[in-house]
Amino acid sequence: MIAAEHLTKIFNAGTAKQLCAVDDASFRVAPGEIFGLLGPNGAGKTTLLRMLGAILTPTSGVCAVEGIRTDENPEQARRQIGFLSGNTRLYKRLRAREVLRYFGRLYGMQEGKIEQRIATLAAMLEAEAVLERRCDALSTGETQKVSIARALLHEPQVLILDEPTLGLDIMTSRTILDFIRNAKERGHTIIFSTHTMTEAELLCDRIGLIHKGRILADGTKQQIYELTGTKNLQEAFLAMVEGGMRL
Amino acid sequence: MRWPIIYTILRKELLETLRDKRTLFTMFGVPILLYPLLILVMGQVTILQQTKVEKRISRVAIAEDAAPTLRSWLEGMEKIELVSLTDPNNQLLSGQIDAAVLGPEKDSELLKETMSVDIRITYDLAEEDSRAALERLREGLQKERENLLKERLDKLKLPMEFVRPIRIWQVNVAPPKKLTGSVLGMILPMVMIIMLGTGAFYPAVDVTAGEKERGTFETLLSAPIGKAEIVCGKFVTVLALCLITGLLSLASMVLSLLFQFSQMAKAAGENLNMDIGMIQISPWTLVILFLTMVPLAFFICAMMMSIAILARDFKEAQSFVTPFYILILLPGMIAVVPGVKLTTATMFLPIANVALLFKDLLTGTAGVEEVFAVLLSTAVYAMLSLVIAVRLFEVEDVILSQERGLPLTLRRSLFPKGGTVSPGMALALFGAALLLMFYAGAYVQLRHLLFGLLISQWLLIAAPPVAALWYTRMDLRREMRLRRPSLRSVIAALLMAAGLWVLIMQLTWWQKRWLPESEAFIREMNKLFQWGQTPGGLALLILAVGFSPAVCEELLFRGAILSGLRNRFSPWVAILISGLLFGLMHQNVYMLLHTTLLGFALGFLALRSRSIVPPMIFHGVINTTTVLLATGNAPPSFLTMMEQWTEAARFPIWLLLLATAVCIVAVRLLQRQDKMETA
Repeated sequence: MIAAEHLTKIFNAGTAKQLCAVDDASFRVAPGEIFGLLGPNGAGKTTLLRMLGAILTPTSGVCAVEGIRTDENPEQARRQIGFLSGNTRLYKRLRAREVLRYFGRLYGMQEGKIEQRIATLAAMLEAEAVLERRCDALSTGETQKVSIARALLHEPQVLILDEPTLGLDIMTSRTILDFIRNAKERGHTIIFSTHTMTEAELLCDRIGLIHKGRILADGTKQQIYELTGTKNLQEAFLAMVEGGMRL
Repeated sequence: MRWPIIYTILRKELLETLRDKRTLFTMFGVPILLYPLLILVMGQVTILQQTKVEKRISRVAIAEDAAPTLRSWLEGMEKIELVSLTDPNNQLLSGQIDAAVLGPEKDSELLKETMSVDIRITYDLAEEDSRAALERLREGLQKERENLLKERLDKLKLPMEFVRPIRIWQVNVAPPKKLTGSVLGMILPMVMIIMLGTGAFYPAVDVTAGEKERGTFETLLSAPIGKAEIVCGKFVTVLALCLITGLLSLASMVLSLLFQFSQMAKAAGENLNMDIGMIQISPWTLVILFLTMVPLAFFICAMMMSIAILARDFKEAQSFVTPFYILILLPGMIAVVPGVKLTTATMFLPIANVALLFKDLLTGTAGVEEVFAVLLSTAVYAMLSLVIAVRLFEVEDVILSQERGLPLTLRRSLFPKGGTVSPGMALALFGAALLLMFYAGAYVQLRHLLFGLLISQWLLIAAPPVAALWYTRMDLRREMRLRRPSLRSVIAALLMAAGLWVLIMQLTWWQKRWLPESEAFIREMNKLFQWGQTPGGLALLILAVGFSPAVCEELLFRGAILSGLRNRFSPWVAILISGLLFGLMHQNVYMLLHTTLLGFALGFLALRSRSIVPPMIFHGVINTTTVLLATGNAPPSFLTMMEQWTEAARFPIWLLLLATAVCIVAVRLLQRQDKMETA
């Protein structure tokens, strides 16, 4: 379960460069649910997800992951989360297995358990051949598979995925989307951001439309279509931005 | 803080760093291969050159009609070949000869007992062969002079002691340890600082800006670990690599030098009677040297990491860290300056204290208290720099920033209208003003003191920031705070100037007790204030020292620089940095303290009043009052009182209390205004 209450993030507060990246965002995501955060570049998606992932501290408001408040116990909250971003890079000079072992140790896992999880995830992602190779020799798709394994290694209940298909080819994107569907079936709580409307339409149970840091709509596709009188998310988004609507 | 996490980070960072060719080369390649190679090649070339010069026959020109005895002397000297003298200068400069000897033409002149004759050796100081020829000729002729002298004394039946009534003996009591230690003490601290800097440089950049560039920070921050744990893990990696490089470099350099000395001794065919300092150093001293190196490495590593984390990528970090690397060499050089010793003052000077302690340890003159004080103060600096590194890691904007860099073009039309001064631009303006004042300012003031001051103020201090802000299309009125002040803030400025003038004067008197002004400084001040003897001169003096700095320095410091800093930092940090820069700008150790304090007050006044005018009034009043009093242009009764207070070097307590009260009233007046300026 993810719960965000009036989350606000202001960068460079009190200076000429002050920027309100996220403005009073509130929503909840239940277990087994996929919540899609949809918005253009610079809308505040990454900042919002980083706050949920306890990577950034909110300027005001609170968020809780599996009932643990990120401001009160950020390290405990992070244990519940598998964080994956489209921009995630791996340590180029390490082998894939070394990267996974490193994160396993940072999550406080036992050595035996780490090896067991690496084997399981490699089999699931069909990435056994990748494990002994250096990360700078991996293709984009292989890198993303290792990143997914890294995010799932500690068996998190909550998955926060920031534009996970960014810059990937169709085949690799499909692997990621399949992985998100499977995770939902296994009962994970999933929030993911994208600026690709079709991805959101295909996967999400609920969608949050975000623009200039504010969540304009939070509801099912049907609710959004009905409110805006449109037939797809792209039109709905434009109607809401131009018409100043809120849901 | 969980040690297993720090250990995990350390292991991973070490593994990653050791797989980087650049770092490997710096860590192992440079000390193990490059230093010995450099020393050996340089040593071998020197030996080769010396041997070549020693073996070479010197071609010495002598006139055909020179005195036969002189000619026979020269012919009797070893490794000298005589050639005919035509034009000595041309022959020398064209390389035909190595030296020319000009002496009397007749033996009767040369050997006349009652007079001295001149023998002139012409040579080329820039040529090694020529210098060698000079040496041979001087030695040979000195021998002949001794012989002649002995002959003459024998004729008179006088002993040699007759012409040498006093014999001077130099007795050196310095034990070999001290002697060699003092030589090594000059070299070793610098070598150590360079080695530690080199060892820390790449790892510090790689684990911070390198990680930022590789885009792995976000992943790391999503793990359940604290930022302090990340910093510590990374820091221990950098420290370990830095110490390994330092020790390897030291060992490699000492071994290469030992080998080199033995080669030189062999080449010279005799024992050079040279004590190798390292052999003379006790193991206990070596342990303390290493112990001192650890906090020094600690300090250098933490500072380099703190600086590198501010950069966006590896390349930018290199350009950020390089000036710091050069800067740490400066205090290291202090150990080389003759006469500088470890005193109460230098004991707490970062880096310099370690350099001086190294010197004392090598000469065997370091006391336990000194070792303790230096170790303690260096450890404190090291801890402080580590705290800075941790704090920087905690600043989200620093870790995850993706701000744009320098503008790609400098065309004026492409600058956005109404932009704000960035901290980088503020520092660049300060740097430009400092350099301009250092070079051009010093030159014009040397030509004419008062007009030079005027030119410095208006052209070198005020014009560059105004021009820069205008060119980059910034809002001059906003960034320079060119606003009409409230009456309340003008009154506050006047009160604050009056109160602070008294307190600052008192501070200057106290300062004189432990830092007496140099005669040169006093002479310079007197020269300046002599202008106040005539009414015209006084007006010019007030214009140059009272009015102009109040306008020009304020435009730069409380205008552009304060705005730039304020656009990034909190008000207090901006006031603190701008005040420090203002103090440094005066480029004078005697003025540093009080100008910095005045800088703080001026910054506070500017941000509270939101206008540049009150700081200008404050600055003008302080400077003009000083000028009027120093030139004796004040009511006689007041001047007499001032003289008494100056004599006693203190104001009466009631005046100090009154001044403090006036300052408090001024601050309260300012606080009753709106809140502190936010941007």
